[in-house]
Amino acid sequence: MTTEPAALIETRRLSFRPSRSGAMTVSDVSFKLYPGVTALIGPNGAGKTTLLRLLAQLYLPTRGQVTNPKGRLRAAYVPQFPGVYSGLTPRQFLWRTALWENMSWTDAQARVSLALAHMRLESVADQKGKNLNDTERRRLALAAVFVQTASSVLIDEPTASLDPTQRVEFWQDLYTWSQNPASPTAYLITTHHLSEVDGYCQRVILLDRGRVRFDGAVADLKECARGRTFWSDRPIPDRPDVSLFELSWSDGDGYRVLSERPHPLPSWQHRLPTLWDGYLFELRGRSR
Amino acid sequence: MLEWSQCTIGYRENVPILDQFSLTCDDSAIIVGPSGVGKSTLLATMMGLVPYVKGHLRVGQREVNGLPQISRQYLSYLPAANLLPLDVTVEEYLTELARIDGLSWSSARRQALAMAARLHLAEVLTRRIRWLSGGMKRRTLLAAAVLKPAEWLMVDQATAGLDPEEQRTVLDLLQAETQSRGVLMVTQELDELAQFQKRVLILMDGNIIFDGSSEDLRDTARGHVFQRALDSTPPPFDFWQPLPNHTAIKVYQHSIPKGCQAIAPEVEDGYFWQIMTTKGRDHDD
Repeated sequence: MTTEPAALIETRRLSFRPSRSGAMTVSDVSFKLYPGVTALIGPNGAGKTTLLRLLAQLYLPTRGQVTNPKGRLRAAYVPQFPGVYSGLTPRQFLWRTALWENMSWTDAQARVSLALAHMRLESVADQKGKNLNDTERRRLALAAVFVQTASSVLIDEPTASLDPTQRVEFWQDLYTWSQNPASPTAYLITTHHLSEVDGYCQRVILLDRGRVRFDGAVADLKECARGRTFWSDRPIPDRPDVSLFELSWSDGDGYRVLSERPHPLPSWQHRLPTLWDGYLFELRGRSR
Repeated sequence: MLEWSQCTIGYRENVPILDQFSLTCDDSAIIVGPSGVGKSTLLATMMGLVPYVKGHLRVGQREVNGLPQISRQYLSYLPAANLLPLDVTVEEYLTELARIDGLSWSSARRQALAMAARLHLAEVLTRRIRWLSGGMKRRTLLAAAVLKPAEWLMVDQATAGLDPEEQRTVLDLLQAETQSRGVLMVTQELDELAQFQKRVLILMDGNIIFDGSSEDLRDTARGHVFQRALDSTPPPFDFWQPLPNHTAIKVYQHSIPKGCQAIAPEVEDGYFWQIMTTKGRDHDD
């Protein structure tokens, strides 16, 4: 039995209302961000971006608080569409970021050249920012995060609009960086791709309409749907005792069933729950 | 049938994106590949949206190169960007388009409402498009494209920006459409290759480098995917993927490397293997 690792960000009953008369877009959110890669997922409009900005202290919470139990809260935030200074080269921009951090000249030099190498920006290091393409801009924003001395990193939809190879490259970059002892240890990343959560993340937070529906290990989110996932070899008739969250035809294997109740019809075979099943069950099953 | 025959295609004269390119689609298919290889351009070419096209473009047996007014009768197109009128409501937009397609008022309205409900837009029917979220705009545009009774549906990144449930809704709808007409889809989501269950085409370096089912694609990587302990960073491999436990990585090699354990490939491994080996071929030349 190992002891629970120390959290790097802790929120207590965090709530945010953008206007005095409007509704809470984040309400009563309490969770801890642990070392490793945590995915923040949820439907469109769940409040994921707002939550990231609250954690980055760009928004002031209406209620509740964000703290780092181990000391000062230093979370670096990478927005979905990072801007660049059009007149600065990546090298100049990273130098500027490093010198704001109160580090020595030699430290800054080492960190900037390491960041440029790791983010594969050396070939464009001395070009003006306005000439960078979208993926280079994103890599530069990520490089800036690693030049700073933040303890945790918040990244908003880093892989949206990337092609499959570029997407893997992002996760490679993150993985390589996180192995470096000087790097931040906790990463919170929003995504709409459950396959990325399954493939690269250790923990997952599911947000729906401003509230946390699930917070835990990725494998445990799958487990939420255990006992309710089946194969059926035929379509399922409307029956009062059968209520389904999902029924979809899967070529060759029959129909995938996610049942509201854990009682199978006689013709159903059990099937292992996937992350999709867990996601759907937590959203549909618990909100009733 | 859709056919690109010996086509040279570009947005500027003498700067071809695709050169002497040929492809025939008899039935629904899904196109994937690195960004910038011309996937979207292929669809746009058929719609008459690309200025420099040499060669033959055919819809059915009809030659349509230079005749966008003909091709657009037979094709319905969902572009990658959400190009929508902003000051009309969702209901007005969908109903008007169905009217233009020749339906009576009552059936245009009925069909528009049914399609909106199917794509979970029923609650925002009376909202002006300007005030919709990005995901709702995407689904509104898709509803309009699917409502048009065209022979072929040309879909460019249908699920971009959609949350997991809406991705599933849209994919289910497009898959159902393949029962009654051809759907040609461009995507960047490898999950969709297996879910769509149709012919998979990988476009790279101006050629179709893979043509087959998603199972065939997966099987091309069999014996080439390995799990290996992480002992140095960055790992000394051309292409690798992190694994969630952060103690091992997935690597792709022609033959089994030392200290590695072979693992059963997934469809996405097939894709990466195809991309990797195609890149390798260039270096050998």
